[in-house]
Amino acid sequence: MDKQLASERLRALASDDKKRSKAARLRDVIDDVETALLAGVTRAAVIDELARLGLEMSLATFETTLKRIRKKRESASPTRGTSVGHIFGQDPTPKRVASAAGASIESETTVEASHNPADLDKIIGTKPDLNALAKFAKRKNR
Amino acid sequence: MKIAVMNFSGNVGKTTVAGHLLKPRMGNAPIFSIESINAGADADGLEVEKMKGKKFGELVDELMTLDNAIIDVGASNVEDFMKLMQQYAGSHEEFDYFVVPVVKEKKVQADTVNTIRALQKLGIPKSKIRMVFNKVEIDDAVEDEFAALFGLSESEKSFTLRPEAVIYANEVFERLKSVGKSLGDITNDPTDYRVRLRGAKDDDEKELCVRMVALKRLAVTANKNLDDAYKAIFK
Repeated sequence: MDKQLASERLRALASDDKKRSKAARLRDVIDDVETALLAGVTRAAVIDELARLGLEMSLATFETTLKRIRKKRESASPTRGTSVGHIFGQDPTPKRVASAAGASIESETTVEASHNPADLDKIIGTKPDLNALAKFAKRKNR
Repeated sequence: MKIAVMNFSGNVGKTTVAGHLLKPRMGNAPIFSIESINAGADADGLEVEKMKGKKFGELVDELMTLDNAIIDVGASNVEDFMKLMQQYAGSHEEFDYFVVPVVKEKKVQADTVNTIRALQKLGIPKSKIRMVFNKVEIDDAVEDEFAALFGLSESEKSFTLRPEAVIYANEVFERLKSVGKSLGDITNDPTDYRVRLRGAKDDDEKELCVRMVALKRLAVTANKNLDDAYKAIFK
């Protein structure tokens, strides 16, 4: 194989937008997209502008792609997404973090989402002990 | 701002919260009513867009294009709605707040504990879950009537609770249903019904005028209360 030729052809492919995925092309301009969104520009307006520039995608595709890019970036950067729980060396569940670190430090970043519907069924099927909860409030207020 | 109003329990006044508390204070935001059994908003003279819980994907798509919206999730659809929110990972980010109205009946408070716990399970942060105490009597002490919820807030720190986030019982909300008008309609109605009463041609008109004078008086108090409640919920 002619390495030189392969290199040239692959580079040509890489620079040909028609051959590149929408996700890759969105990734090219992601910083500017994020800046626009942060400034309050609606997603619809961003999508319109991208379409004018030749990158057409539906709202749903845009949303999904944006989430994937953000996720990838977050996992690539060790400083982002660090939870208070980790700093305090605690199990990063919001309950533990809040009680361990005191009322002034309540982490927003440590809320871990469950993707299992059975977890919701379990909550729905449980009868909470209102008296026990009420006693807790009274103890705290004293 | 996009706000979902929900509780596993029915009869907590979700429609009052969506239509009378939120809508007029959010630039007349559209209300999406997720309710397969809908006895709510229409009866209160409010325009709503009805939708079934199962059409969650369509709702999220539509929400993305809007700046303000209120999503009134009927009790019979909350479970579906939450499970779909779970399925569409990250879709809860489309909502700025989850407002959970509660009234003092024990059964409702128990359902409310479960609502909060389920929202927490979906990964929704404390700052986005806001409680509002509804149908509170003037001489009720919320800390006593809703002690279990104050306890939940202290022990699990999973939602935002403000003792001032209170909607007082006001018969205006029931009366609105009977006349098919919204609180906004009453407040914005420029008619001086006392003047009109003097020139009323028949008993029906007289009765209407008397009823409207009372309704307007009640509406003033209700609106002031709702202004305060709105500030407390989102401060």
